[in-house]
Amino acid sequence: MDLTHSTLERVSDTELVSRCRTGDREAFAELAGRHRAKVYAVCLRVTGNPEDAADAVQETLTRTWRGLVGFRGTARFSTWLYRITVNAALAEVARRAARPRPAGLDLPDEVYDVPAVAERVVTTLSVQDALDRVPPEFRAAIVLRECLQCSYAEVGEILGIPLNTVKSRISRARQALLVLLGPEPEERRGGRP
Amino acid sequence: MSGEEWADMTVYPDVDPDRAGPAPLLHRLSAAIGSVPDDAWRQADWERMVAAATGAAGSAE
Repeated sequence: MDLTHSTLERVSDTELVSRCRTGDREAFAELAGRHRAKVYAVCLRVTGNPEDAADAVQETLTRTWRGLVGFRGTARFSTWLYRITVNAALAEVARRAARPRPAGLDLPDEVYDVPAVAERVVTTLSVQDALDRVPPEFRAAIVLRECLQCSYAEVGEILGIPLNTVKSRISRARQALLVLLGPEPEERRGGRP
Repeated sequence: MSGEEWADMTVYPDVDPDRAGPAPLLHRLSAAIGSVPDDAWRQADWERMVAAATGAAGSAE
């Protein structure tokens, strides 16, 4: 059946998936468009820059189209799609790993100076800079939580990890962000650089 | 509250934004991570990406 775009807007994800599996590209365009913003948000936050995010989004679209023929609906389409998205973004990060990168998650064993951290103005740029320093698997967990408002269980389902691991990764990622967004050690001590 | 306690999921996201402490920063941090404008592509560029995905992969069958 040949449906117009306006008709497709009223079709459920499940029905669109069925149509995609028969090779319906218009259905795929509608389906992808519905999830475009979230797919891009995850790719941008995980990869850290628009160029890599664009590559990850393109890879996500391609893998999704190819994979739909085997998608059996045992998971929600969105969960399946975001799993592909995260994997594509992480693959992009790995592919670009040769780039000089800041040190990984090497948290000091200390009690963080919360009031000093709270005094900092958190900007989107500084948050992305900090996110870039968090190891990808930790970054993916907190990005799913904050960008997609996933529950911890959903994060676990998307990443294929146990609930306790999700909690640990998100907690560790937050700890890392607090440290990274906090003042420089010299500032903290009130000393000279 | 230590930073470690602050960051722990047990005190977030069910924190009161008006409560004294680090909650306001946590909310700003959360908002900053989640705030990604959907202006990366013009519609025509997006449609080309979708077409490339389906074209590169050939038929779904």
